[in-house]
Amino acid sequence: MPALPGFPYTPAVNLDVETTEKDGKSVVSLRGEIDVYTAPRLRQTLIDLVEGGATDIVVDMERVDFLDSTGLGVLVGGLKRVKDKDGTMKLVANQDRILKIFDITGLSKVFPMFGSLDEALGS
Amino acid sequence: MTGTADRLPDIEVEIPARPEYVGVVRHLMGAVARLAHHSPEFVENAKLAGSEATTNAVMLNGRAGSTDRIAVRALLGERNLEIQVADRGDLAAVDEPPSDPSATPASGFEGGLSLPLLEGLVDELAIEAREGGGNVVHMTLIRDVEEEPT
Repeated sequence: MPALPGFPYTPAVNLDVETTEKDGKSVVSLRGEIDVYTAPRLRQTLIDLVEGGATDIVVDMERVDFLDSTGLGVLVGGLKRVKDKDGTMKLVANQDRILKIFDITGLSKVFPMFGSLDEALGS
Repeated sequence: MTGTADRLPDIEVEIPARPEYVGVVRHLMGAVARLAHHSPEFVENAKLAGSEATTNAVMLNGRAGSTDRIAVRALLGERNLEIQVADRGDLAAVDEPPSDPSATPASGFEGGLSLPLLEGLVDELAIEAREGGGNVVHMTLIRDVEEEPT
């Protein structure tokens, strides 16, 4: 993220994105807030994974404090990309404030959703 | 700030129309809702509603090439919270490319989820034309009847 004009610091991005391999799946572990400012970091991670050949992706949102429609849009975009490669993308979420957003938008019926990473990896 | 005998003084802020400032509004709305002893769920709804509307305002301003700031106002009632977010954008031009790409997210985002989310989140939602151009989004969150102040 570029520094702002007249501002000596690059504004902090309150979203940590870590990618690991577990049980043959690519696990994207998120911590922080996903909004219009931080979502590009997640979007690029998902693009890089799919373009790098990953076909089984698990996005772990257990430690996500906030998610808005921009973040949902990035997840939908990631799902489309991996499905185009005949892959899958599963989500891990167990906080009511996150689950509610998927319910309101109907996306809980679009994504395979799990309450823990172990459940997602074992499915 | 303005206020009446039965309502706390309004809170008004203006932010630069850039993505990195959306979080400022989000956390402010959470703090405002907590002031009125609203429940944790209500607070989360206020944060999400404020964030969604401000994101839309930033996008609309960016597409319109406006450098005007986004005006946000919170009106705290005894049992409700009204959030107003004002932009200088053009709702009819939402499909046009932004004139200042740095002020909006990179292309390729899946959009169209914000309005359904807002409609499912708030109790009242209205959009009206803003004097001098742009839009004002009015959102009201009402405390559930059985919900007691914490």
